[in-house]
Amino acid sequence: MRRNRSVAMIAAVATMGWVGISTTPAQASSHREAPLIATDPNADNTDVYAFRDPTDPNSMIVAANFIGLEVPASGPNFPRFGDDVLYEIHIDNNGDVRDDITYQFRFRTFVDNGDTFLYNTGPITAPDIAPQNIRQEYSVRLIDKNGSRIIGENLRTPPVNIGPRSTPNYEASLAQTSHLTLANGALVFAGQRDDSFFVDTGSIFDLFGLRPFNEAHVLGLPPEPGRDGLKNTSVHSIVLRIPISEVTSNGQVPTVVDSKESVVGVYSSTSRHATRALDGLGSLRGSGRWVQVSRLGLPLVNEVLIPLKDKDRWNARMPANDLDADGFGNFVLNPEPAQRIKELYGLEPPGNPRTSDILPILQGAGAGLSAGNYLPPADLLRVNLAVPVTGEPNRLGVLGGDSQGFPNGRRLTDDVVDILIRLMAGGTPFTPGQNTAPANQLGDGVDKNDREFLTTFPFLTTPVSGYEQR
Amino acid sequence: MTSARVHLRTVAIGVLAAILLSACGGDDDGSSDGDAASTTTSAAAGTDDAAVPAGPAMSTAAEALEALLAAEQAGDHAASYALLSSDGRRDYPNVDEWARDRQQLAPITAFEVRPEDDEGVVEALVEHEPGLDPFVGLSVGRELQRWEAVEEDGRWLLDADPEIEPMFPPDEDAIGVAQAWIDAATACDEGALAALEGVAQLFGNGTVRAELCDSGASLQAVDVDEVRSGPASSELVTQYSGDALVWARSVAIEGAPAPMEVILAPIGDDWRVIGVLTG
Repeated sequence: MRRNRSVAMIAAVATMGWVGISTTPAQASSHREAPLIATDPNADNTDVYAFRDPTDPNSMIVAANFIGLEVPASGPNFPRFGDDVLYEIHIDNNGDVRDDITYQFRFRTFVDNGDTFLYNTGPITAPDIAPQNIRQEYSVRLIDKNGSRIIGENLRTPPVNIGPRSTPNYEASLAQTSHLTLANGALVFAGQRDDSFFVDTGSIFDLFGLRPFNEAHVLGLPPEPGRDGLKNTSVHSIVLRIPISEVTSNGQVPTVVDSKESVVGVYSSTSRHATRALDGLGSLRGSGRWVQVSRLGLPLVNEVLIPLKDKDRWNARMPANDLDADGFGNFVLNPEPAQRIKELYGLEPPGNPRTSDILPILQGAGAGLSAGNYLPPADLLRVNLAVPVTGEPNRLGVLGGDSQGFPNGRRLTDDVVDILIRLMAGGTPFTPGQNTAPANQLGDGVDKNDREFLTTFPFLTTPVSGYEQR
Repeated sequence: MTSARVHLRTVAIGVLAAILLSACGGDDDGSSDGDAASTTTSAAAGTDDAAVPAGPAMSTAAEALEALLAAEQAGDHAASYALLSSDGRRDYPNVDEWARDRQQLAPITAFEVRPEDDEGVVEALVEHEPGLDPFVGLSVGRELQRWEAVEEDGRWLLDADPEIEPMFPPDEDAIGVAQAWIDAATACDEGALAALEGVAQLFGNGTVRAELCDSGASLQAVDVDEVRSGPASSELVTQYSGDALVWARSVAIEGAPAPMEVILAPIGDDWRVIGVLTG
């Protein structure tokens, strides 16, 4: 029997007459990328970003997105963070692929008036005022070498962006007033944002089609520009601005690029209680320990490298020993997309296992480390905090000669889809033999987000309102 | 669980606690480094069980539990993991899984391992800083932990998850606290209310306090029971899991125009108001 939680659960089930019990196996995440997490949007971790703050080089930004494919016009029950989900951002600052710093987030929803069906009963011109009937607040717990402590309580989230009548002047009046400072000096924002990911999902998942290269596909079509499949969709984001001195193992802002101490690994996750039960009275409850159901470090690893049968199991794992366990190394180093590119486009990707490009990237090569300083391979977003912020970011990141970009961390503007397609095809400097056209020119034709990012915290931009949705 | 059974159990546990507390080990000042996040404190961290070095040989189950709880109190999850049995390591295949799970629990501030009276089970009275938060849930002040122990290769080791018996204040005390809260609300005594409440924002009907203030209402707290499952308690359960239906108590209030219950949580030796359900 497990501790008090299990005692509690068993006692409750025995005495309360539950009519339905469902034990949640490890559910898991990108946008709906695994079978189980696709049915659980509140816990679906869609993207994570980590980069030095361009407005303050002594800080880093970590952003994690959840609840993919939010439709802005989705009233009256608009999306919100799950009150029954544990959201976490994990940071490894000594290269051992284990949490050294963890930020945990729990949300709580308040319904002021349960006798109306409305989210709001008038214009919401400031946070937490009466017309906003449904509000959400959150708490933040920090776990680090000093133990665990709550560093923020009763922190408000902005309402969702409903429209000009309900949420006028959304960014200035409601979103910016929800930039809050935590007890450790970090700045936090949690709330709805425009989905920062940009990709032609419509074509890519139509037999790996790349519209600009339609003619080269074995099932040829006329070429056309890419279409952002996530245009006008929203997510719920948690964004942190953390002083770099709070992140690194030695408390310093690093200056030496090719040094393990300069690189931190980041991933985010969600967890749910192990058991969920329906009581037949209109309520659902969870019991038991937290079980991880979604995780995200590098973009698209689970989405396109892990096969269907193992995706949710991957989501449930912690990243330590990612490639050693249960055959996952085979999936990652013998990537299926490369095989598909060969079949569908007639290209010749590098041979498997991909120890010349994928493996070193997982070891920190993309983050500025040389072979002598490689870290254990893992699905972590590794960012080198010694690399200065560039004033002219290149969407292709390191492939475009911009050492501050992906796979050195991930900025909002980094075109990870094009970068990773080229990686699969071998069109990168890691494999000079294949780094030729068209392998090093491939892409989905969507080069940037449909909406401009903010130039200041939280950088993710204003969500499209329901009223504006097209 | 009936109120009578709860009462009997509470009395028995109270007696036990009184006996044990006087000799309870660990830090008396309640300070602790427990729950440290880093799982990197040992070379064993993160490896599978076969690669985790065995801890020091323990000649008794009580010794093993003493060492395990001491490691947990120090936040050294790798050291405590080394004291898990084969079954325990099947439940937690590596230190990382174990550490993450242990971080979900309230940090240990003190403990006392009891003399063994059953070779296969060893007990300890364990103390935590009492509290209630959405991450750990209820941090019960004192609990009795029963660990199953096995001898493997001449070493005493422990299964992973003990049976836990939390020690709550007597249920009847909740009635008095609820009455005090009602009286303070009616008197608009914000200071008294704050001292009686266990959360920053009450669950359930958030307007009751304001409605009672200067209302002249004459309300009586009359009976205590467990909190019923259903829509009225779903907010509480969502925040603290189904465990809340076991540790929370509901005190019925008479004299209100509509049915009213004050919801309380056992914070240490006292009950504290965490919600009000009406209608």
